Amino acid sequence: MGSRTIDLGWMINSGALTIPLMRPFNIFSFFFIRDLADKLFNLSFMFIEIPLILFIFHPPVFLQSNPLYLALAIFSILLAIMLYYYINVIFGSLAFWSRDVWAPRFLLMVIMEFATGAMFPLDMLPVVWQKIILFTPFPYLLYVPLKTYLGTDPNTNIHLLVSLLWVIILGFFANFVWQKGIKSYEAEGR
Amino acid sequence: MLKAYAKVWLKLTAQQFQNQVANARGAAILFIFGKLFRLATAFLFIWVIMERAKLIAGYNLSQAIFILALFNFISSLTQLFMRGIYIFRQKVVDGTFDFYLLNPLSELFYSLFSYTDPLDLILFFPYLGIVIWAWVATGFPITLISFLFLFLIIIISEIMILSWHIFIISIGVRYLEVDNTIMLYRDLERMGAFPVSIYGKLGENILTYAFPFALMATIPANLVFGLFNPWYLFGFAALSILQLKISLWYWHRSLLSYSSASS
Repeated sequence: MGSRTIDLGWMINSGALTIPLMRPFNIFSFFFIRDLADKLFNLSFMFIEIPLILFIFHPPVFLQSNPLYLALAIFSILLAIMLYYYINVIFGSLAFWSRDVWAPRFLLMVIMEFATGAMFPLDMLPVVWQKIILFTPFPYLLYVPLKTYLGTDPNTNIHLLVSLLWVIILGFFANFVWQKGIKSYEAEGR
Repeated sequence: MLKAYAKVWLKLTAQQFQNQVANARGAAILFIFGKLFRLATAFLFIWVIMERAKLIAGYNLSQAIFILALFNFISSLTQLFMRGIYIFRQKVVDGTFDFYLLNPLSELFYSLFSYTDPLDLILFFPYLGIVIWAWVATGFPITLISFLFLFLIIIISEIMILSWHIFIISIGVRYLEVDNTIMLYRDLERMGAFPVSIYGKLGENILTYAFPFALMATIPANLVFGLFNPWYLFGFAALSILQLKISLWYWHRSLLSYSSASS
Protein backbone atom coordinates (compact mmCIF):
# COMPACT_ATOMS: atom_id res chain seq x y z
CA MET A 1 0.00 0.00 0.00
CA GLY A 2 2.80 2.37 -0.84
CA SER A 3 1.97 5.40 -2.92
CA ARG A 4 3.87 8.33 -4.41
CA THR A 5 0.60 10.26 -4.63
CA ILE A 6 1.14 11.09 -0.95
CA ASP A 7 3.51 13.78 -2.31
CA LEU A 8 0.56 15.56 -3.88
CA GLY A 9 -0.24 17.62 -0.76
CA TRP A 10 3.35 18.81 -0.46
CA MET A 11 3.50 19.55 -4.21
CA ILE A 12 0.41 21.75 -4.00
CA ASN A 13 1.57 23.59 -0.87
CA SER A 14 5.11 24.19 -2.12
CA GLY A 15 4.13 25.09 -5.68
CA ALA A 16 6.03 22.10 -7.06
CA LEU A 17 2.83 21.00 -8.82
CA THR A 18 3.33 23.81 -11.34
CA ILE A 19 6.02 21.93 -13.27
CA PRO A 20 4.04 18.74 -14.00
CA LEU A 21 0.97 20.91 -14.72
CA MET A 22 2.86 22.68 -17.51
CA ARG A 23 4.00 19.44 -19.13
CA PRO A 24 2.06 18.17 -22.13
CA PHE A 25 0.50 15.14 -20.49
CA ASN A 26 -2.48 14.19 -18.38
CA ILE A 27 -1.62 14.91 -14.74
CA PHE A 28 -3.80 12.05 -13.46
CA SER A 29 -1.97 9.57 -15.70
CA PHE A 30 1.36 11.01 -14.54
CA PHE A 31 0.54 10.45 -10.89
CA PHE A 32 -0.87 7.01 -11.60
CA ILE A 33 2.28 5.93 -13.44
CA ARG A 34 4.41 7.28 -10.60
CA ASP A 35 2.28 5.26 -8.22
CA LEU A 36 2.75 2.10 -10.27
CA ALA A 37 6.50 2.67 -10.47
CA ASP A 38 6.62 3.12 -6.71
CA LYS A 39 4.68 -0.10 -6.20
CA LEU A 40 7.08 -1.92 -8.51
CA PHE A 41 9.96 -0.56 -6.48
CA ASN A 42 8.32 -1.68 -3.24
CA LEU A 43 7.62 -5.07 -4.77
CA SER A 44 11.34 -5.53 -5.35
CA PHE A 45 11.77 -5.64 -1.55
CA MET A 46 9.68 -8.81 -1.68
CA PHE A 47 12.72 -10.75 -2.88
CA ILE A 48 14.47 -9.94 0.38
CA GLU A 49 11.54 -9.77 2.76
CA ILE A 50 9.69 -12.98 1.89
CA PRO A 51 12.72 -15.33 2.13
CA LEU A 52 13.67 -13.57 5.35
CA ILE A 53 10.19 -14.02 6.85
CA LEU A 54 10.10 -17.66 5.73
CA PHE A 55 13.53 -18.25 7.25
CA ILE A 56 12.79 -16.57 10.57
CA PHE A 57 9.17 -17.42 11.28
CA HIS A 58 8.50 -20.54 9.16
CA PRO A 59 4.87 -19.53 8.50
CA PRO A 60 2.58 -21.94 6.60
CA VAL A 61 2.42 -20.83 2.95
CA PHE A 62 -0.63 -21.29 0.75
CA LEU A 63 -0.05 -21.20 -3.02
CA GLN A 64 -3.27 -20.93 -5.01
CA SER A 65 -3.35 -23.40 -7.89
CA ASN A 66 -6.85 -22.68 -9.22
CA PRO A 67 -6.37 -20.39 -12.28
CA LEU A 68 -9.85 -18.88 -11.83
CA TYR A 69 -9.12 -17.68 -8.30
CA LEU A 70 -5.71 -16.42 -9.44
CA ALA A 71 -7.29 -14.42 -12.29
CA LEU A 72 -9.97 -13.01 -9.97
CA ALA A 73 -7.32 -12.12 -7.37
CA ILE A 74 -5.26 -10.26 -9.99
CA PHE A 75 -8.40 -8.38 -11.07
CA SER A 76 -9.18 -7.58 -7.46
CA ILE A 77 -5.61 -6.30 -6.86
CA LEU A 78 -5.82 -4.06 -9.95
CA LEU A 79 -9.07 -2.59 -8.65
CA ALA A 80 -7.44 -2.11 -5.24
CA ILE A 81 -4.52 -0.23 -6.81
CA MET A 82 -6.92 2.14 -8.58
CA LEU A 83 -9.05 2.52 -5.47
CA TYR A 84 -6.04 3.41 -3.34
CA TYR A 85 -4.80 5.83 -5.96
CA TYR A 86 -8.12 7.70 -6.06
CA ILE A 87 -8.33 7.82 -2.26
CA ASN A 88 -4.83 9.35 -2.20
CA VAL A 89 -5.69 11.89 -4.89
CA ILE A 90 -8.78 12.97 -2.94
CA PHE A 91 -6.86 13.36 0.32
CA GLY A 92 -3.86 14.98 -1.40
CA SER A 93 -6.20 17.49 -3.06
CA LEU A 94 -7.22 18.77 0.37
CA ALA A 95 -4.01 20.82 0.14
CA PHE A 96 -5.78 23.09 -2.35
CA TRP A 97 -7.80 24.42 0.59
CA SER A 98 -5.70 23.59 3.66
CA ARG A 99 -2.05 24.04 4.60
CA ASP A 100 -2.14 20.91 6.67
CA VAL A 101 -2.81 17.64 4.89
CA TRP A 102 -0.85 15.50 7.32
CA ALA A 103 -3.59 15.19 9.96
CA PRO A 104 -6.40 14.02 7.62
CA ARG A 105 -3.93 11.69 5.91
CA PHE A 106 -2.83 10.31 9.27
CA LEU A 107 -6.44 9.70 10.24
CA LEU A 108 -7.04 7.97 6.92
CA MET A 109 -3.96 5.80 7.46
CA VAL A 110 -5.11 4.77 10.93
CA ILE A 111 -8.63 3.95 9.76
CA MET A 112 -7.24 2.03 6.81
CA GLU A 113 -4.92 0.01 9.02
CA PHE A 114 -7.98 -1.31 10.79
CA ALA A 115 -10.66 -1.35 8.09
CA THR A 116 -8.56 -2.92 5.31
CA GLY A 117 -7.87 -5.95 7.47
CA ALA A 118 -4.14 -5.14 7.63
CA MET A 119 -4.10 -5.16 11.42
CA PHE A 120 -6.06 -8.41 11.71
CA PRO A 121 -8.43 -10.32 9.38
CA LEU A 122 -11.89 -8.80 9.46
CA ASP A 123 -13.31 -12.33 9.96
CA MET A 124 -12.23 -12.02 13.59
CA LEU A 125 -14.75 -9.24 14.15
CA PRO A 126 -18.44 -9.80 14.93
CA VAL A 127 -20.52 -10.30 11.76
CA VAL A 128 -22.35 -6.97 12.16
CA TRP A 129 -19.03 -5.08 12.19
CA GLN A 130 -17.84 -6.99 9.14
CA LYS A 131 -21.00 -6.05 7.25
CA ILE A 132 -20.66 -2.38 8.18
CA ILE A 133 -16.99 -2.26 7.14
CA LEU A 134 -17.79 -3.98 3.84
CA PHE A 135 -19.95 -0.98 2.96
CA THR A 136 -16.83 1.21 2.99
CA PRO A 137 -14.13 1.12 0.25
CA PHE A 138 -11.37 0.06 2.64
CA PRO A 139 -11.76 -3.76 2.81
CA TYR A 140 -11.53 -3.84 -1.00
CA LEU A 141 -7.92 -2.68 -0.71
CA LEU A 142 -6.62 -5.75 1.09
CA TYR A 143 -9.16 -8.00 2.77
CA VAL A 144 -11.18 -8.80 -0.37
CA PRO A 145 -8.13 -9.37 -2.66
CA LEU A 146 -6.69 -11.71 -0.01
CA LYS A 147 -9.93 -13.65 0.42
CA THR A 148 -10.26 -13.85 -3.35
CA TYR A 149 -6.75 -15.27 -3.65
CA LEU A 150 -7.42 -17.80 -0.91
CA GLY A 151 -10.71 -18.77 -2.56
CA THR A 152 -12.50 -18.58 0.79
CA ASP A 153 -14.89 -15.74 -0.03
CA PRO A 154 -18.38 -17.11 -0.78
CA ASN A 155 -19.39 -13.70 -2.20
CA THR A 156 -16.40 -13.10 -4.47
CA ASN A 157 -18.46 -11.90 -7.43
CA ILE A 158 -20.49 -9.46 -5.36
CA HIS A 159 -17.39 -8.13 -3.65
CA LEU A 160 -15.57 -7.63 -6.95
CA LEU A 161 -18.61 -5.82 -8.31
CA VAL A 162 -18.75 -3.56 -5.23
CA SER A 163 -15.02 -2.95 -5.60
CA LEU A 164 -15.55 -1.89 -9.22
CA LEU A 165 -18.41 0.37 -8.14
CA TRP A 166 -16.15 2.05 -5.56
CA VAL A 167 -13.48 2.59 -8.23
CA ILE A 168 -16.04 4.33 -10.45
CA ILE A 169 -17.51 6.42 -7.61
CA LEU A 170 -14.14 7.48 -6.20
CA GLY A 171 -12.76 8.06 -9.71
CA PHE A 172 -15.55 10.53 -10.42
CA PHE A 173 -15.21 12.12 -7.00
CA ALA A 174 -11.42 12.48 -7.32
CA ASN A 175 -11.88 14.14 -10.68
CA PHE A 176 -14.53 16.46 -9.25
CA VAL A 177 -12.36 17.45 -6.26
CA TRP A 178 -9.34 17.97 -8.52
CA GLN A 179 -11.25 20.18 -10.96
CA LYS A 180 -12.58 22.27 -8.08
CA GLY A 181 -9.20 22.47 -6.37
CA ILE A 182 -7.10 23.31 -9.41
CA LYS A 183 -9.14 26.51 -9.86
CA SER A 184 -7.92 27.70 -6.47
CA TYR A 185 -4.28 26.69 -7.08
CA GLU A 186 -2.02 29.73 -6.80
CA ALA A 187 1.42 28.12 -7.32
CA GLU A 188 2.68 29.91 -4.24
CA GLY A 189 6.30 29.17 -3.37
CA ARG A 190 7.37 29.17 -7.04
CA MET B 1 26.49 22.74 25.01
CA LEU B 2 23.49 20.67 26.08
CA LYS B 3 21.84 23.92 27.16
CA ALA B 4 22.22 25.31 23.65
CA TYR B 5 20.58 22.21 22.14
CA ALA B 6 17.73 22.40 24.67
CA LYS B 7 17.23 26.09 23.90
CA VAL B 8 17.15 25.53 20.13
CA TRP B 9 14.85 22.53 20.51
CA LEU B 10 12.41 24.56 22.61
CA LYS B 11 12.53 27.37 20.07
CA LEU B 12 11.88 25.02 17.15
CA THR B 13 9.06 23.29 19.02
CA ALA B 14 7.48 26.65 19.86
CA GLN B 15 7.68 27.62 16.18
CA GLN B 16 6.09 24.34 15.25
CA PHE B 17 3.32 25.02 17.73
CA GLN B 18 2.77 28.51 16.29
CA ASN B 19 2.64 26.97 12.84
CA GLN B 20 0.01 24.47 14.00
CA VAL B 21 -2.11 27.18 15.59
CA ALA B 22 -1.85 29.41 12.53
CA ASN B 23 -2.44 26.81 9.86
CA ALA B 24 -4.01 23.70 11.22
CA ARG B 25 -6.17 24.22 14.27
CA GLY B 26 -8.84 21.80 13.05
CA ALA B 27 -6.23 19.26 12.07
CA ALA B 28 -5.24 18.84 15.71
CA ILE B 29 -8.57 17.22 16.53
CA LEU B 30 -8.18 14.80 13.60
CA PHE B 31 -4.65 13.96 14.70
CA ILE B 32 -5.60 13.26 18.32
CA PHE B 33 -8.65 11.27 17.23
CA GLY B 34 -6.43 9.25 14.86
CA LYS B 35 -3.94 8.44 17.61
CA LEU B 36 -6.65 7.37 20.04
CA PHE B 37 -8.43 5.35 17.35
CA ARG B 38 -5.20 3.49 16.60
CA LEU B 39 -4.72 2.68 20.27
CA ALA B 40 -8.34 1.55 20.59
CA THR B 41 -8.02 -0.79 17.59
CA ALA B 42 -4.82 -2.25 19.05
CA PHE B 43 -6.65 -2.99 22.32
CA LEU B 44 -9.52 -4.44 20.29
CA PHE B 45 -7.04 -6.71 18.51
CA ILE B 46 -5.75 -8.10 21.79
CA TRP B 47 -9.27 -8.56 23.09
CA VAL B 48 -10.30 -10.38 19.89
CA ILE B 49 -7.31 -12.74 20.23
CA MET B 50 -8.04 -13.33 23.91
CA GLU B 51 -11.62 -14.24 23.01
CA ARG B 52 -10.18 -17.21 21.14
CA ALA B 53 -7.03 -18.04 23.09
CA LYS B 54 -6.90 -17.33 26.80
CA LEU B 55 -3.14 -16.72 26.77
CA ILE B 56 -0.67 -15.10 24.35
CA ALA B 57 2.70 -16.85 24.75
CA GLY B 58 1.90 -17.40 28.42
CA TYR B 59 0.66 -13.84 29.12
CA ASN B 60 -2.91 -13.21 30.22
CA LEU B 61 -5.14 -10.39 28.92
CA SER B 62 -4.09 -7.74 31.45
CA GLN B 63 -0.40 -8.56 30.97
CA ALA B 64 -0.74 -8.41 27.17
CA ILE B 65 -2.50 -5.04 27.49
CA PHE B 66 0.32 -3.76 29.72
CA ILE B 67 2.86 -4.81 27.06
CA LEU B 68 0.84 -2.99 24.39
CA ALA B 69 0.49 0.12 26.57
CA LEU B 70 4.24 0.19 27.21
CA PHE B 71 4.97 -0.24 23.53
CA ASN B 72 2.57 2.56 22.64
CA PHE B 73 4.13 4.88 25.22
CA ILE B 74 7.75 4.31 24.17
CA SER B 75 6.87 4.42 20.48
CA SER B 76 5.09 7.76 21.03
CA LEU B 77 8.12 9.06 22.89
CA THR B 78 10.22 8.30 19.82
CA GLN B 79 7.66 9.91 17.55
CA LEU B 80 7.66 12.94 19.79
CA PHE B 81 11.38 13.60 19.46
CA MET B 82 12.43 12.03 16.16
CA ARG B 83 9.64 13.10 13.83
CA GLY B 84 12.16 14.92 11.62
CA ILE B 85 12.96 11.65 9.89
CA TYR B 86 9.66 11.82 7.98
CA ILE B 87 10.64 15.03 6.21
CA PHE B 88 14.36 14.33 5.96
CA ARG B 89 14.27 13.13 2.35
CA GLN B 90 12.54 16.35 1.35
CA LYS B 91 15.24 18.37 3.11
CA VAL B 92 17.95 16.59 1.14
CA VAL B 93 16.04 16.89 -2.15
CA ASP B 94 15.27 20.61 -1.82
CA GLY B 95 18.73 21.51 -0.48
CA THR B 96 17.65 22.51 3.05
CA PHE B 97 20.09 19.92 4.38
CA ASP B 98 22.93 22.23 3.28
CA PHE B 99 21.78 24.70 5.92
CA TYR B 100 21.81 21.95 8.55
CA LEU B 101 25.45 21.29 7.66
CA LEU B 102 26.35 24.95 7.92
CA ASN B 103 24.76 25.31 11.34
CA PRO B 104 26.98 25.41 14.45
CA LEU B 105 24.84 22.71 16.08
CA SER B 106 24.97 19.09 14.94
CA GLU B 107 23.33 18.35 11.57
CA LEU B 108 21.97 15.17 13.15
CA PHE B 109 20.12 17.22 15.75
CA TYR B 110 18.40 19.29 13.05
CA SER B 111 17.72 16.26 10.87
CA LEU B 112 15.98 14.25 13.58
CA PHE B 113 14.80 16.57 16.33
CA SER B 114 13.77 19.77 14.60
CA TYR B 115 10.20 18.80 13.83
CA THR B 116 8.63 17.97 17.20
CA ASP B 117 4.89 17.86 16.92
CA PRO B 118 3.26 19.62 19.91
CA LEU B 119 0.26 17.32 19.53
CA ASP B 120 2.48 14.41 20.51
CA LEU B 121 3.30 16.34 23.66
CA ILE B 122 -0.41 16.66 24.43
CA LEU B 123 -0.88 12.90 24.10
CA PHE B 124 2.18 12.06 26.19
CA PHE B 125 0.37 12.25 29.54
CA PRO B 126 -2.75 10.27 28.57
CA TYR B 127 -0.46 7.54 27.24
CA LEU B 128 1.51 7.54 30.49
CA GLY B 129 -1.80 7.29 32.34
CA ILE B 130 -2.75 4.24 30.25
CA VAL B 131 0.58 2.57 31.14
CA ILE B 132 -0.04 3.13 34.87
CA TRP B 133 -3.64 1.95 34.58
CA ALA B 134 -2.54 -1.21 32.70
CA TRP B 135 0.24 -1.79 35.26
CA VAL B 136 -2.21 -1.62 38.17
CA ALA B 137 -4.56 -3.99 36.28
CA THR B 138 -1.84 -6.67 36.08
CA GLY B 139 -1.79 -6.87 39.88
CA PHE B 140 2.00 -6.40 40.08
CA PRO B 141 3.00 -3.65 42.55
CA ILE B 142 4.36 -0.31 41.34
CA THR B 143 7.59 0.09 43.31
CA LEU B 144 10.25 2.79 43.11
CA ILE B 145 12.91 0.29 42.09
CA SER B 146 10.86 -1.19 39.22
CA PHE B 147 9.96 2.34 38.14
CA LEU B 148 13.66 3.30 38.06
CA PHE B 149 14.51 0.16 36.10
CA LEU B 150 11.77 0.99 33.60
CA PHE B 151 13.24 4.46 33.23
CA LEU B 152 16.67 2.93 32.59
CA ILE B 153 15.24 0.54 29.98
CA ILE B 154 13.51 3.45 28.24
CA ILE B 155 16.85 5.29 28.01
CA ILE B 156 18.63 2.21 26.62
CA SER B 157 15.84 1.50 24.13
CA GLU B 158 15.81 5.14 22.99
CA ILE B 159 19.57 4.99 22.33
CA MET B 160 19.01 1.89 20.16
CA ILE B 161 16.06 3.56 18.44
CA LEU B 162 18.17 6.65 17.82
CA SER B 163 20.88 4.47 16.28
CA TRP B 164 18.40 2.95 13.85
CA HIS B 165 17.04 6.40 12.96
CA ILE B 166 20.57 7.66 12.28
CA PHE B 167 21.20 4.61 10.13
CA ILE B 168 18.00 5.25 8.14
CA ILE B 169 18.78 8.92 7.45
CA SER B 170 22.31 7.91 6.49
CA ILE B 171 20.74 5.74 3.80
CA GLY B 172 18.72 8.84 2.88
CA VAL B 173 21.89 10.91 2.39
CA ARG B 174 23.45 8.21 0.23
CA TYR B 175 20.50 6.98 -1.82
CA LEU B 176 17.72 9.59 -1.27
CA GLU B 177 15.54 6.83 0.15
CA VAL B 178 14.02 7.41 3.57
CA ASP B 179 10.24 7.10 3.34
CA ASN B 180 10.06 3.41 2.45
CA THR B 181 12.86 2.49 4.84
CA ILE B 182 11.23 4.22 7.80
CA MET B 183 7.89 2.63 6.91
CA LEU B 184 9.58 -0.77 6.83
CA TYR B 185 11.15 0.01 10.21
CA ARG B 186 7.78 1.10 11.63
CA ASP B 187 6.13 -2.06 10.32
CA LEU B 188 8.77 -4.17 12.01
CA GLU B 189 8.49 -2.04 15.14
CA ARG B 190 4.83 -2.96 15.49
CA MET B 191 5.89 -6.56 16.10
CA GLY B 192 7.09 -5.30 19.46
CA ALA B 193 3.54 -4.48 20.52
CA PHE B 194 3.10 -8.14 21.45
CA PRO B 195 5.27 -10.48 23.53
CA VAL B 196 8.28 -11.18 21.30
CA SER B 197 8.31 -14.85 22.25
CA ILE B 198 5.38 -15.40 19.87
CA TYR B 199 7.78 -14.97 16.93
CA GLY B 200 9.89 -18.07 17.66
CA LYS B 201 13.42 -18.23 19.03
CA LEU B 202 15.17 -16.66 16.02
CA GLY B 203 12.53 -13.94 15.64
CA GLU B 204 12.73 -13.18 19.35
CA ASN B 205 16.53 -12.89 19.23
CA ILE B 206 16.46 -10.56 16.23
CA LEU B 207 13.81 -8.32 17.81
CA THR B 208 15.77 -8.32 21.08
CA TYR B 209 19.39 -7.86 20.03
CA ALA B 210 19.39 -6.42 16.50
CA PHE B 211 16.37 -4.14 16.96
CA PRO B 212 15.15 -2.27 20.04
CA PHE B 213 11.63 -3.72 19.80
CA ALA B 214 11.81 -6.19 22.70
CA LEU B 215 13.23 -3.41 24.88
CA MET B 216 10.24 -1.25 24.02
CA ALA B 217 7.67 -3.49 25.72
CA THR B 218 8.35 -7.17 26.42
CA ILE B 219 11.54 -6.69 28.46
CA PRO B 220 10.24 -3.87 30.70
CA ALA B 221 7.00 -5.82 31.19
CA ASN B 222 8.95 -8.99 32.04
CA LEU B 223 10.91 -6.97 34.57
CA VAL B 224 7.68 -5.89 36.24
CA PHE B 225 6.42 -9.51 36.16
CA GLY B 226 9.70 -10.68 37.74
CA LEU B 227 10.67 -12.63 34.61
CA PHE B 228 13.75 -10.55 33.69
CA ASN B 229 17.04 -10.28 35.56
CA PRO B 230 17.97 -6.55 35.78
CA TRP B 231 21.71 -7.41 35.58
CA TYR B 232 21.21 -8.12 31.87
CA LEU B 233 20.62 -4.38 31.45
CA PHE B 234 24.39 -3.86 31.54
CA GLY B 235 24.65 -6.02 28.42
CA PHE B 236 21.85 -4.10 26.71
CA ALA B 237 23.45 -0.78 27.64
CA ALA B 238 26.73 -1.91 26.04
CA LEU B 239 24.83 -3.14 22.98
CA SER B 240 23.01 0.19 22.61
CA ILE B 241 26.30 2.14 22.77
CA LEU B 242 27.84 -0.19 20.20
CA GLN B 243 24.86 0.32 17.88
CA LEU B 244 25.09 4.09 18.34
CA LYS B 245 28.80 4.10 17.52
CA ILE B 246 28.25 2.00 14.38
CA SER B 247 25.38 4.22 13.19
CA LEU B 248 27.42 7.39 13.82
CA TRP B 249 30.32 5.91 11.88
CA TYR B 250 27.95 5.10 9.00
CA TRP B 251 26.45 8.61 9.20
CA HIS B 252 29.86 10.24 8.85
CA ARG B 253 30.74 7.90 5.96
CA SER B 254 27.45 8.84 4.27
CA LEU B 255 28.09 12.55 4.71
CA LEU B 256 31.31 12.13 2.73
CA SER B 257 29.23 11.00 -0.25
CA TYR B 258 26.81 13.95 0.03
CA SER B 259 27.24 16.15 -3.03
CA SER B 260 24.75 18.93 -2.25
CA ALA B 261 23.43 18.41 -5.78
CA SER B 262 19.96 19.76 -5.03
CA SER B 263 20.93 23.25 -3.96
